[in-house]
Amino acid sequence: MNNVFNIKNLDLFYDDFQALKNIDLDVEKNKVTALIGPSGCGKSTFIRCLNRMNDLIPSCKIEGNIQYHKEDIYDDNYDVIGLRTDVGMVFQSPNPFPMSIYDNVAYGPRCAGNKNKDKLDKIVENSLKKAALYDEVKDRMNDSAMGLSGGQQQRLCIARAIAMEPEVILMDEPTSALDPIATLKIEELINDLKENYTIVIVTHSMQQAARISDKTAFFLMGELIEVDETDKIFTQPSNQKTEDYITGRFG
Amino acid sequence: MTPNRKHFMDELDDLNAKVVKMGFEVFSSFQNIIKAIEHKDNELANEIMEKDKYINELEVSINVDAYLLIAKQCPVASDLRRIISALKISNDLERIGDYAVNIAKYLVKTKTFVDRFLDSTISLAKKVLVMLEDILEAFSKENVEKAINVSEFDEKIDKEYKETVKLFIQNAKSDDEEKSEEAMRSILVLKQLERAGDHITNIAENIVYLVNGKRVELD
Ligand SMILES: Nc1ncnc2c1ncn2[C@@H]1O[C@H](COP(=O)(O)OP(=O)(O)OP(=O)(O)O)[C@@H](O)[C@H]1O
Ligand SMILES: [Mg+2]
Repeated sequence: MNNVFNIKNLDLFYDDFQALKNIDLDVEKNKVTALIGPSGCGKSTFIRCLNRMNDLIPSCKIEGNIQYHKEDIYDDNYDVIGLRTDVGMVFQSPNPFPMSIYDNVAYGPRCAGNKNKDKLDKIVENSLKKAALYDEVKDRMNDSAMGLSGGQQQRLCIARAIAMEPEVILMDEPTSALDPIATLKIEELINDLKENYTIVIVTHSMQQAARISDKTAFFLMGELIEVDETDKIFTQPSNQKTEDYITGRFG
Repeated sequence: MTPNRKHFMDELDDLNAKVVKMGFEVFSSFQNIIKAIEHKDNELANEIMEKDKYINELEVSINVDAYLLIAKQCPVASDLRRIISALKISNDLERIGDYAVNIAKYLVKTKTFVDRFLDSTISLAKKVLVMLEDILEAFSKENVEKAINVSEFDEKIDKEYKETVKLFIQNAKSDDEEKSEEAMRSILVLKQLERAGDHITNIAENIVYLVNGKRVELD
């Protein structure tokens, strides 16, 4: 197995409240892993662990082990900046910076010390192409990103993540603020991206998980109930709770 | 946990009920075809042909319901299997109904369904009828064990079919043209019964799939 992440016995607390309970999960390289489950079950909490975004929440305490390429990312000496470069993130509502389309994508590489104009041009173009946005914006690169539609903004955020040349892209409900057409575009994009990236996506749409993911993990009240091939989960889940959730019996 | 999708659940129940109803209609056709053979009752045979239209309508209606549920409700897991099974089982039931009709046609055409073939034909037909009854019960109770037992019984049907055919062939080798034609027709009737048994086995496979999610080959 070619795993990018190995998570073992992960417990997470917000002060006294335990939000994740004894999670064991492996994330496979170049696969799309979907996280599903009812609101408040811990999906966002879990996905934030993978690039240590939870460090920003003071009450948050983690026990157990998360390995990225066999290295414990919660080790005191671990390079968190490097981790966040390798493991990019796209959020629920598109959050472009209030600057031009070009600068949005160039921002990360510039911060990383890349000042060469030609190189930046190439990175911006390639990233926008990979995010399936280039054709729509190539003639207005210097316009403000705020003038883009919601779906375009979200693809811009994906381009921004891609510009950092990550290995993994985490997406927390990336289409929940988008209309159906924009949603389909992002779904298509995710399908194309998995050739070169490993994707972990939180989604509230069961159909979306079924359509785009290779593996599906079902969370319930902080526990990982079941993780398996998506094909298996949506035809013959092993756990009754999974069955009840995906068939809409509760939730 | 609050139960959801009551409307969808009701529609699934309705679909299931239609399949059960179709099963009973086919069962009663088969019951009648045995009576028609026994009593050389052409009127009853005609009735069976007439009722087959209704059975076909039921199948169409099950198909329409199932397609709409798939299109509109995006069913998954056991819900999806239930709908697929309804499609497949209704298709098998429709075929079994057709075999009853075929036999009815032979009966009407042949003035002489001859006594010397009667007992062995009835014997085979009654066994198929029992299988049909049992498979309908297995379906409505989602009883996998019973479904598998029914499919195993099909071996007996096949065996008896082969033996009886042999016997009829002996009879067919007659100089009397009329006699050999009778024997041929009787063999065709047997063939319909044997095919019905095969479709009942298909239904058994679909019951296993419905309950366990596994595709099995029962024969
Ligand atoms: N910063 C925080 N401080 C305290 N509790 C939190 C914090 N963030 C999340 N929680 C709690 O942890 C649990 C899991 O929350 P999380 O946001 O991970 O759920 P989720 O599965 O992403 O839900 P949703 O589908 O609604 O986004 C919830 O009970 C939530 O109230
Ligand atoms: Mg969330």
